Amino acid sequence: MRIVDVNCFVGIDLKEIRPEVTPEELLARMEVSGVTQSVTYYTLAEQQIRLGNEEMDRVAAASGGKILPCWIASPYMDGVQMPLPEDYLKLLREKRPAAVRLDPVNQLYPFDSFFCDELLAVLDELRIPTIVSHGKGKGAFTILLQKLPEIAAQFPHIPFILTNASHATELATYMLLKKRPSVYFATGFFCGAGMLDQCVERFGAERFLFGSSVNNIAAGSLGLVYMGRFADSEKEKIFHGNWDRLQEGIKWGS
Amino acid sequence: MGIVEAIRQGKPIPVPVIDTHTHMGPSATGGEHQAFEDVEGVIELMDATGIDAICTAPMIFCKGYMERANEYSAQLIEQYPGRIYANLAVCPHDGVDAVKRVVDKYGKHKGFVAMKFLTIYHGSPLREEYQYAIAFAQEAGCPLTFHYWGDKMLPDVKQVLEKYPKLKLILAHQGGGVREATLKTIEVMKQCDRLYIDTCGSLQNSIDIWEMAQLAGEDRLVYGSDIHYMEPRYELGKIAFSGMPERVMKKIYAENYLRLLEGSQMDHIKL
Repeated sequence: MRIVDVNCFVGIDLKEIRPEVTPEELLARMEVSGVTQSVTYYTLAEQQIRLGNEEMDRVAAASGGKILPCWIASPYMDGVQMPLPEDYLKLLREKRPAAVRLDPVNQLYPFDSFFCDELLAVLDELRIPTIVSHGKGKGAFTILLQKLPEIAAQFPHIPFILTNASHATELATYMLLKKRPSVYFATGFFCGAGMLDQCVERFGAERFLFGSSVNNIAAGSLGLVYMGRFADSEKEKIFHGNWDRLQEGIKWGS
Repeated sequence: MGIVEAIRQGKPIPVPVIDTHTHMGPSATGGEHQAFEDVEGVIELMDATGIDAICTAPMIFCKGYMERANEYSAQLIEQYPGRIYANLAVCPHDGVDAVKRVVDKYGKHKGFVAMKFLTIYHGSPLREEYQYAIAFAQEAGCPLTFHYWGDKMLPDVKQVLEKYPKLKLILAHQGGGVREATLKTIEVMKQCDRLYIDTCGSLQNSIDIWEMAQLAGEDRLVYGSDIHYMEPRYELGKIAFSGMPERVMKKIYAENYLRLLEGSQMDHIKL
């Protein structure tokens, strides 16, 4: 089974004191788990956006298609770290990363249309998969989850993929699945007993993508999906079909 | 068929699995949610995944309902013989006499195989109310599990191990739930061969289970999931897909815990 993991990184994870996760280490972990491709961001880009994303492209190019580049983005589009909005659209069209990643909870910016509309308009035009790190604690609610319903309604063509959700935000998960068809969930932290079965049954497997938890650890998610009480065809969608569909939906234009 | 292949085909795990860390009953305390609230749903999941038996301290135990929790466990043991066993649930809230009463009542009760404290939530294991129960666990030779997170309670754990030199102690949630705490716990485990950790339910630990087993010793981890608060298939997968040899998987899924129960005067798990 081809498996695409949408929640991987390389680089130093500042939340922990440990050595840098190298591309070689990520590839070795993928090999152990049986993950075919990983959608990966470079943690350096959380601080130095342009440099980190360029580095990510180099890592991906050297991986033989196993690592797909995911670019970190910020709404601060003044032409310094992030390009001006019109230049960003051109840059994305030229470089064609597999996805863009936003982390408003940890990067501390208000996730609303006043602050983020220029960035979100570009992503909406391209319909590019936009991975949003859920974050932990109260910030997950106050910065992200309270705003996402409005943002997803305002920019309905952005496929938002929530990763790193927590088991304490399951109401938000359920309501977003029910009311916002453009919001997707990575499986990495989908942990309330029976919830994935229930949500696949009610909302369809189309809304879920396979994703690791912290530190590129795919093992828990593999157990969850492989042993899911839904059809093999649904498992295939989660493992790779939904990702492929979202990639095909990107409007790169001419 | 091997364990990994069975899981890939959606079949039950073909070796014994004992879930040592469960809480029957749903919970909505911290914003969390489960897709079913009946125990029958848990049994169905056990059948589908190949979990032979679970040890439970019912969810109401978390809220401090000690006597009701143990009564409920006794009822489940009767209702699901051989599938549901109990961790004798001890809370300090009702005082020393209440602790003595439940320990005396359930310490030799059918289906009660071990003991569980929700330390941190319910305070330090050094609390006076806990001492009678710890002494019982030591004397009976049964494993005692502490809820455990972070590393602030580690000095208390060390004191308990020094005060009760025959006690077999399990620290839940991978001995602290996050990398730095787990590593500190493992340092203590290297000094004390009576200290174990369970694999249960950390969503944040960046050390995977195989690495943990290599650091702590493959005989020192027992399987736990937190069902039905949490999803057991996620927890089963953390072991099966970690890259460890099947020999070690079998130890963690059941063998290590069965060895811990050897010689205990409480009841035993019969697979």
